[in-house]
Amino acid sequence: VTAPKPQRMATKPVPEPTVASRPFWAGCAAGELRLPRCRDCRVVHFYPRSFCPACGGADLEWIRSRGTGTVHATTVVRRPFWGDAFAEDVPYNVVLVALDEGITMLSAVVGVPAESVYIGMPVAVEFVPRGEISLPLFRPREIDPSGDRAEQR
Amino acid sequence: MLSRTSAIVGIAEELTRDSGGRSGLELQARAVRAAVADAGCQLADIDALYAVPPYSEAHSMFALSLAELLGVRASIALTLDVGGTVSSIAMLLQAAMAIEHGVHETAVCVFGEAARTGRRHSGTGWTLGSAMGTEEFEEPFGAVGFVVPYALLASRYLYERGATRSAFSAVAMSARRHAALHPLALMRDRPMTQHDYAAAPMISDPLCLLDCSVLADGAGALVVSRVERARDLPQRPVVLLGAGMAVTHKNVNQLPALGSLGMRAAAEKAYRGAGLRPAEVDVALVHDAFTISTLLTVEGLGLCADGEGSDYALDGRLDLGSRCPVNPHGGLLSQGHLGGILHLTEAVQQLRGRAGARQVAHARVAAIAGNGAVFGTCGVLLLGVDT
Repeated sequence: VTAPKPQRMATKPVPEPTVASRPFWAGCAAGELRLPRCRDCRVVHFYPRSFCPACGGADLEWIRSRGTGTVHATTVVRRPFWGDAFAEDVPYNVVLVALDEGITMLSAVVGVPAESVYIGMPVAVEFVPRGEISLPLFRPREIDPSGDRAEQR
Repeated sequence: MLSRTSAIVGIAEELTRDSGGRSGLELQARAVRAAVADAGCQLADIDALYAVPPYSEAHSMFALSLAELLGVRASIALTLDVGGTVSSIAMLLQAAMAIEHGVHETAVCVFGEAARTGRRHSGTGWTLGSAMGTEEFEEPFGAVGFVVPYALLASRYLYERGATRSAFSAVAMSARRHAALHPLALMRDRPMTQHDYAAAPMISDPLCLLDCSVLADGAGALVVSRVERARDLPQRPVVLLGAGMAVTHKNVNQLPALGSLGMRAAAEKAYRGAGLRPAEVDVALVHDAFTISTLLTVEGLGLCADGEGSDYALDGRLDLGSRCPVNPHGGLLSQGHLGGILHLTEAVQQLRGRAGARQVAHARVAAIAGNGAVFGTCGVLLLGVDT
C-alpha cells in the first residue's frame, strides 16, 4: 500500500481579515500600525478581538502604534515548512516583537541577514505588500540616545 | 479532585515507522481490542470510549465512528482534543470522574494515528486541514507548524536562563540512550553522540534536527475501571492519585513570560490533590516534542527549581539510575511521537514493574506531565501502585 502523496502549498499564505481584524489590516494598507485598546480598562491587546481579553469589555477603540519595539524572541528558519512557498526565502527570520505599547506580535525582521537578529534588537515597523494585504514586518532601527529604552545584550 | 477510586487495568502499545496503510481509526481500534484483552475483559464490558481524533485525518464525531467500528455499545463515546499529552491526561481524568460519580463503569481511553505515513496534506509541517488559529497572524510571516514556535520559545529560554544548547543535547542524548532499551522505540538502534548532535542540521535556530521528535505510526490505549473491580482483574492495578491542568494561551504570539507558563500551576494542583511532593515521584514521563519541552517541564514539575532544568539535564539527572529518571522509554524524541499516549502506558509499565531493561527500581509513583500547543495548556497526572 502506498501512502497518499502529501499536497504541497505553492503560494505564501495571505491573511484573510475578519470582522474583528479589518481595521488593523486597513491600517497596514494606510501605512499605520493600529492596535485595539479597551475604553474601560485602557489595556491594549493584540491580535485584534471583539472583546478585551483583559477585562471582557466590549467598548474598544483603535490607537496608532509608534511602530517601534524590541525583538523578544528570534529564530532563523532553515527549512521551508510551507511546501514550496518559502523555499527561496530560507534561511529567513521570524521574531516575536515586543512593541512599546506593551503587546507582542509575531513578525519578521527584514533588510539584514537573518542570523544578525538578536533578542533586544531595536526595530521599527515597515509594511510590505502581499496580494491585497500589507504585512507589518520590521527593520532594525537606530536607538535614540536621548533615552529610548532597549533591552541590550 | 480524585479520590483513588479508579485504576488503570489494561494497556496496549503499537508503534512503527509504517503501519502498512492502516488509518488512525484502524490503529485505534486495534489498540482498544489489545488493551481490553490485556485487562482480561471483553469488549462487551466497555461502558465508555474516550478518543483523541487522529490529527493527520479529518473526522467528525471520531469516537462514535470508533465505537461503531468495534461494535461497542457504550453509554458514551466522547471525542476529546485538549492538546498534546494533556489530551491523554484529560481522557483518564474524565473517565475517573465519571466512574466516581457512577456515570459509567469501565472505560477505554485511546489515541493513535499514522502520522508518519498517513498524511493527506503537508505544508504546515504536519497538517491537518484543520484551523490552528495561526492562519492570520503567524503563518503569513513564515511561522508554520510547530518547530518555528518552539524555536522562538527555545531562544527565550537560552536568553532568560543563560543556558546553552549543550542542555538541549543532554536531553536528546538521554532520550536516545533510553530508547535503546525499549523494544518498540523507533530510534532503538541509532545511538547518538555529542558529535552527532553538533553535526545535525539546524531546522529553526536554536533547534536542530535532533532537538525534534520522531514522527510515528501507531496507537496506545488504556482501560480504566473502579479500583475494587481492578483488584479482581489479572494486571496489577495502577491507581489515579491526582491531576491538575492549567490553560494560559494557545499560540506562540501570546506566549507569557517563562515564569508564568501553566506547568507549575498544573503540578501544584496535582500534588495537592494526591497529597504528594515532587520528591516522592519515582519516575517522570514528560511531553518532549522538542528538547526545550523537557527542560521547562522538569522545572514546572518541581523536580528542580525554575532555571535549573539546564543543569538538571547536564548533570545526568534525566537518566536511568538517577533519583527520578525522565522518559525511560525514550519519549517523543527517540521512542516516537504518538501524542503522549505512550507516556501514559509507559508509566503503567513502570508501576507494574514490567518495564524490563528500562525498569526504574521500586517505582511506586509516576508523574506524567505534558503540554499542548506551545505550553498553552499544561497538565500533570500522578499515578501510583495500589496500596
